[in-house]
Amino acid sequence: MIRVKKASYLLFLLLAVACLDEPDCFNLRNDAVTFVFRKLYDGKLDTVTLVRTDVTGKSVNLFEEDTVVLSTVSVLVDYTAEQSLVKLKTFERSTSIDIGYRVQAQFISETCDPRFVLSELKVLGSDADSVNVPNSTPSAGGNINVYRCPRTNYIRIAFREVEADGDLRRDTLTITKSIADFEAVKLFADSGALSFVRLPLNPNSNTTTYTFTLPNNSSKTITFAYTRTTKVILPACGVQTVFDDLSILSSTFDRAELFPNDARTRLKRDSIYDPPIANFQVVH
Amino acid sequence: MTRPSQIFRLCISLCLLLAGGKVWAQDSVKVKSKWIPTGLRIGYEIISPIKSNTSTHFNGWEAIAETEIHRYLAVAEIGSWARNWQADNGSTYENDGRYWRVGADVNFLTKDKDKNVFSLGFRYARSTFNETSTLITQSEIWGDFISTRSNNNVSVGWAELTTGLRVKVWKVFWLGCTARFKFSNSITQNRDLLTTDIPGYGSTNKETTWGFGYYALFRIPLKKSK
Repeated sequence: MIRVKKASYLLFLLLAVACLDEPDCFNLRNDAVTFVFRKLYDGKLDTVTLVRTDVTGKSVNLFEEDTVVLSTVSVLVDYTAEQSLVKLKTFERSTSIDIGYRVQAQFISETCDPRFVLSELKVLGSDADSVNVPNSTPSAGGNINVYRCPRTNYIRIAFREVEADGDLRRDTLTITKSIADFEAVKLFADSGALSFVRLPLNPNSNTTTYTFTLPNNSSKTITFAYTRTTKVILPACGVQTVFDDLSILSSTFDRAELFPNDARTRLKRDSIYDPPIANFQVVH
Repeated sequence: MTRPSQIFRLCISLCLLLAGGKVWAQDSVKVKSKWIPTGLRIGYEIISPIKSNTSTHFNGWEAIAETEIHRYLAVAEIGSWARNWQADNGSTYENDGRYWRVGADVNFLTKDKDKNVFSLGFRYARSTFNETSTLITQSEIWGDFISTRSNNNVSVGWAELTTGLRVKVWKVFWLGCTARFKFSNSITQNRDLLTTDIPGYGSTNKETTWGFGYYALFRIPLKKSK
């Protein structure tokens, strides 16, 4: 009978443990879909400056700053519907991606909100260069890859100053305003000291002129010349305009020239690369 | 033509066969007597009716039948279980279903003169149920959401490891309890309404769960003990 008593105590101990088995009221939704920015050329991560994310017309930024430089971004999608239109606005472009998914719901407890489980993520439509869904379950790594075609018209200018011995060394320039002679997308902020800028060339002309306003209200103008040819770099991107033989046609900077190659590199400074290399150096 | 050596071999074979048959017959008689059921206990789980009468969230019952065979118990249980919950935000959930369990226990009190039982055992269980839920949520971004979803004739199986006590109280009247460790439920959460509670099993929010039953039982002796 002693053994029976001991066994009784054991059973009541198990009963006490069972009373601790209450459901948790957190992690009730996996509604964060992660977009990964990639380059179509090699599939590697791309870096973008994200300005804004909208989902079905509602801003759902998961970051506090106005703009952030990143390669992946998570947005909260509408778990009360089975479709969300996600708009990712970067400095370069605005991309819309219409995504569909399955939403399963579960009653959790008297004190918790219902749980929503999103799965079977798919892209219903997109104006991105290319997209795919490597992981169809939200909140489990990167869900949607957003690919971009190679950028063929962005040059890079490095700012330099002349040292006492005549050598050039790295410098910064503060630009308060920049104007192109065509409808261009700028890739830098209008404030702060910049050591370089990336500038798009006009794909419809053999020259492009930029006018920069400096903090003392003076302005500097620079005109680039180039040749244009069309080429299929990637079939998914179709025919693209390729810019070669870059040169400076005119400049009001103290000095502006092709960026010198060092002996170790075989880069052609008068051609455009993606990601961009320094094509020109400017002394002011 | 049959040779004498062949006849001799045939005789030896027949003798061995008969001797073997006799040994087998003796063993089977011996084994048979050991495996005749000695008692049948039929019982009712006593907490479920109390809970049904005192709680607005539960309604259920459970019955049990177990047969003593040597130091083992063959066990069958059937029950009914209905839940009804309302959340603070207005969401509701209700289910209603039947379940059964079959399995065996090993009694470790083999020398107890009252035939009290302390057992460890295994069950296979199955439940069939319907469930309905009205899900409500208020989102700052997406606004109000309300949706009513149902699942009908959901069938789920699971396994249990059990430990239990059966104590003779007075003549044929016994009391007992069983603790259950429930695992490997076969629910496939592929419906729009995810199952919250499986009758007989319990909550689905974890991979395993515990259960307890307290039983009032009547023992019917099937064979006089020596």
